[in-house]
Amino acid sequence: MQAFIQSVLDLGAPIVVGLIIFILGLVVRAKVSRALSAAITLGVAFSGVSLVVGYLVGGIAPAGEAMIKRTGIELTALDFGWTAGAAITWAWQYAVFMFPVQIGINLIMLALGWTRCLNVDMWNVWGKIFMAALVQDMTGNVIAAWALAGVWIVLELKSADLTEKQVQHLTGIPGVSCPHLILFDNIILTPVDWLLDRIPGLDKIKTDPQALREKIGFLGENHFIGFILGLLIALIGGFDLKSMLATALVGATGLTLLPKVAAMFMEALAPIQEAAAEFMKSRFPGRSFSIGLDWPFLAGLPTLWTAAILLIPVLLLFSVILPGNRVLPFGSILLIESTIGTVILAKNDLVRTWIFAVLISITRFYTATIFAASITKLSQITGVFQAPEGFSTYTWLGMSYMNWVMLKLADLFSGRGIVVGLVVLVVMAGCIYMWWKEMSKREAALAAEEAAAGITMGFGA
Amino acid sequence: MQKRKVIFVACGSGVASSETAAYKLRNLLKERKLDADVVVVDFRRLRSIAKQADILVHIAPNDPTEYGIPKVNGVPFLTGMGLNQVMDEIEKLVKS
Repeated sequence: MQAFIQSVLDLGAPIVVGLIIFILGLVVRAKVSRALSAAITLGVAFSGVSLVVGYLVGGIAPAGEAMIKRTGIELTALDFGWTAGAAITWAWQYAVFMFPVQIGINLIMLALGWTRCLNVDMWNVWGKIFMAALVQDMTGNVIAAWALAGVWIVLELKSADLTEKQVQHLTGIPGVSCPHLILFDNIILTPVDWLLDRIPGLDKIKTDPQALREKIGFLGENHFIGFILGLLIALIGGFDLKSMLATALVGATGLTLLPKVAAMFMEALAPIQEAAAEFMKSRFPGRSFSIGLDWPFLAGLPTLWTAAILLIPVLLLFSVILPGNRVLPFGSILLIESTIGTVILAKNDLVRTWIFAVLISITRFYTATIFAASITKLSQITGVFQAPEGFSTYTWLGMSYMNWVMLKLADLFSGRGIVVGLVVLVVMAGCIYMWWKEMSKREAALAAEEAAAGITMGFGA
Repeated sequence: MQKRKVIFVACGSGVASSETAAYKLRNLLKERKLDADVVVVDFRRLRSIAKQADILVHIAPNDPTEYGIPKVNGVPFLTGMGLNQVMDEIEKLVKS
């Protein structure tokens, strides 16, 4: 039996995961042809991401290497953006078990009335897999990895509850909430928000995010970003004009194609996503709850995009001046990871969103530096990518600090780093307390406003 | 015989939410025996390419930008609430 399992695992991650997707497809009663199509699409997604990343590395690495040699700045971890991160996670050996864990915890919490959020977003299961895979790799403690994934899922649901009315009022969409890990940023930024409230004149600054977006929005498009960054790295590396333009085009091509091939992961998962969502909804007919969605329904806020574009120069500066940073920002240079959650805490104010984004981005540089070696190792084990030549490692700049918090807690579980672990625990508890109080206050105020106006943004009673 | 309509489904990255909504939309179009091309696109590119489509299914309906084509709320494809209503809207646009 063991020999059989081993020989299946030896087929390599893309084939094994494809096989699991095929079986899962049959379990949720998709047609055989449909399940087979999903399995092959997944394989195409794996090969596609691997192909594009290989191409990108081949084109950018020589320029990056030249830049490092010429300037002496040691940015040896190339940032590939979240698409590459998501690709590795699906190849983790325990990845698919995260679906039943998330669904199970959610249903139990709904049944007990501990949350109002019914999370139908099966895509972002990968965020938990990513954390668990890294924590397991760095601590060797698989039990801690799963326990912390559980904590993470609970925290996401509570975060969705505590921002439900706020996101509904910001977007004008009734009945939804956002159980996305990106909203964790607001936990450690709540004390900063408290401080900003005490700076006189800050809320007097008036801006027009939409008008700004009309002017500079094109800078946020992937092909522009890739081209300009490629050009910049080659320029600093001392390349001639011809090689500079060639490198720029590789950057533009890579960043344009990566999301397109990554979309195939979702295409493969779509039947399972739909079946899981239907299954969950059928368990709670007629109950009053909010439907938890992935973040893009927030994307209509121009503030989010404008703040991310205004963050780009800061990120380039940070990459050079932050002591100990190793990350060369590339795939995540339009770091909307730093503006999606913070725009809620900032109540859609551009100045505040930008200040929050600048501060939280510092945690991202260090988190991405710390996890770079492990991310690189995982990608090699799973065979999704080869090690980038010229760069010793690669990473994802958009990673949440919460991954680091979980790493320190896993160490604490394992009896190592007791002092650091306890400090992290106490600081997080303090921040969570402040955040919980502030968010509850805001939710109550909006609920009272709705009651006064005689409307409701939620479903049911 | 009128031209086959092109429907853009847009979300923040053109990866997850839009792909989920597009999957649902393709199935529902088939159910209603409607013929249209469903294309998933990245939000940030909409301004430059929206004119290539006839209908925009938008995951972020509160986006203040006008793209010059009819805009349909895409959130019901994710939540399932009010789905029939937006499908009626799309059916009318596809047949127009």
